[in-house]
Amino acid sequence: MKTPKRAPFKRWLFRIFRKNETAIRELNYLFWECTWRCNLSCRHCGSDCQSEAHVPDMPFIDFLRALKPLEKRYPRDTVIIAITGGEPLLRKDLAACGKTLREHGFRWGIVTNGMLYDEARHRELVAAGLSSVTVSLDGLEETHNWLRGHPESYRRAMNALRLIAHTRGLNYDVVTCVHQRNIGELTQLKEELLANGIHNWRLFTIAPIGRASSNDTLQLTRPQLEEMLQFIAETRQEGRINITFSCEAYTGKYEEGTRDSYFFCRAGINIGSVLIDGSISACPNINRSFVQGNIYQDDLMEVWDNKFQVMRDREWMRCGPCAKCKDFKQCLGGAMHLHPTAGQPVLRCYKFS
Amino acid sequence: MKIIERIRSKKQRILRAIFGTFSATALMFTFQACYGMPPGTLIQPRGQVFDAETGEPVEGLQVTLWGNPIDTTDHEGYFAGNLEEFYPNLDCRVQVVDIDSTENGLYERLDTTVYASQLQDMELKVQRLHEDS
Repeated sequence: MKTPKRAPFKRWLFRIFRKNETAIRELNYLFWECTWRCNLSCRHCGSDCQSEAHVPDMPFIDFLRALKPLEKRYPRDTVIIAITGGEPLLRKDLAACGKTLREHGFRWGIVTNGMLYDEARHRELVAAGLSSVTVSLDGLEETHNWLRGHPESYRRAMNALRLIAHTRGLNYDVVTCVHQRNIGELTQLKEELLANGIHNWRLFTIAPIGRASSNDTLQLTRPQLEEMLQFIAETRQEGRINITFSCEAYTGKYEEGTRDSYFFCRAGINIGSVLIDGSISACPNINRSFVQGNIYQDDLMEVWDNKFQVMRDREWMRCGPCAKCKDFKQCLGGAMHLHPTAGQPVLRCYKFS
Repeated sequence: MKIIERIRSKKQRILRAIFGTFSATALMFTFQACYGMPPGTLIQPRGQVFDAETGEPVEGLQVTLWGNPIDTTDHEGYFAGNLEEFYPNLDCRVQVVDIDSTENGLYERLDTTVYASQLQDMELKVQRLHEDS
C-alpha cells in the first residue's frame, strides 16, 4: 500500500500553529483522577490501580473548589473535564458530580471499561449532562477477556458501546490497545464494531509504563507497529469507520495518513490533571515526577500559568535517539508519557522513514 | 512591560483566528488527550422564528435541538445556544414549542429537520393558532 505523500508546507504551517498554541497555553482539557479503585486487573494498565486502592477517592467538593479559578477565567462550556481512574463508574456519586460540573459550566465525560455501564446508569449519566465517553475494547472476545482478566468484560463493554453509540448528542469512541495477541484481529474487530453501529475507533499501542512495563509480549515489534499504522491508513481510505491513531507519538511518513491532524502532545499546553492525591499534572499516565503542584496547597490556575515549563519547552527531550534526529522539530521528542523523567530519553520511537 | 505582554497576547489570538478561519486545519483545535475521551466540538446554533402568516418575529417560543432545549426566542424572535456537535454531517431535528401560552399569541408546535450546515443561520416559521381553531 502507498503511504500518503508528505506535505512539507502543511507541516511548516502546523509548526507555527503549535508554537502559537503553546504560547497561548489555554487549559481546556482537565483530567480528574477521581478514584484508584478498579473492578478489573488488566495486564497492560498504565496507572497500576487496584481493586481496593490504598488511596481513598478524592472528595468531589475538593475538586470543585480547585476548579473555582478556572470557572472565573474561561467562558462556560469551553473546558471539558475527563473523569478517569481507576474505574470512575465505581463512584456512586458520579452522576451527582457530573451534574454539578455542568451547573458550573464545565462539559464532562468519562473513560471507562464499561463493566458497570448498563441502561439505568446510562440514563442517569446522560441526564446529568454527560457529553463524551470512551470505552476500551482490546480485541475480539477471547483476547479482550484475557487482557482484562474477566470473562464478562467483552460482553459488558460491547453492551455499553451499543447504548452509547445509539444516543444522539453524545460523543464517544472505542479505544483498542494493540498488542501482539490482537494485531491479527483488527480487521475482524472492525467488522464487529460496524455490525454493532459503532463508528468511532482509536488505536493505541501499549506504552512500557505501569503494569505493562514488565510484560514484553504486550509491546508490538517494529514490523507489527508498521503493520498497525498501515491498517489505520488503509481503513481511513476505505472510509467505513472513523479510525485514528492516538496522539501518543510522531509516526514519520504515516503522519499524513493515520490521524486528522499532525502529532501534537498537548500535555501542559492544553491538558492538565488533578490526580487522586490532589497533585497537579498533565495526562494521568505521565510519570509522577512531573507533578507541578497540589490543589491542597496551590491555586490550580497559578500553577498552570507559572509552572509546566518542562512540558512547554521540550528542548531537553533532544537526547538519546532524538539527539540527532532530523525530524525533531516536527516530533518534539514524542509524547510526555514516554519519558520516565525530565532529561531521560524517550522510551520508544515510532518514526518510520 | 504589561503593554508588550498585551500586544503579544493580541498577536497570538489573531494568529489563532487566522488558522481557525483560513486554513483547512479546523481539526487542529479539536484534540483529545491520548488516554482521554473525545471532547467533541461545541456548535452554536442560532436563528430567528417568524409568524408564518404575517412574517413578524415571535417571542416566547422554546427551541429544542436533538431533544435539548437551547433557548427561548426574544422579542425579535432570535434564539442562540450551545450544543455538542455529534454527527456533523447528519441533519438535525428541531422543535419549536410555545411555552408562554397566549402571552405572545398562541402558536402550533413546529417539528422540522434542519441540515447541520444550516444550524447557525436558521429561519423557522410557525403557524398561529386562532381562537376559533
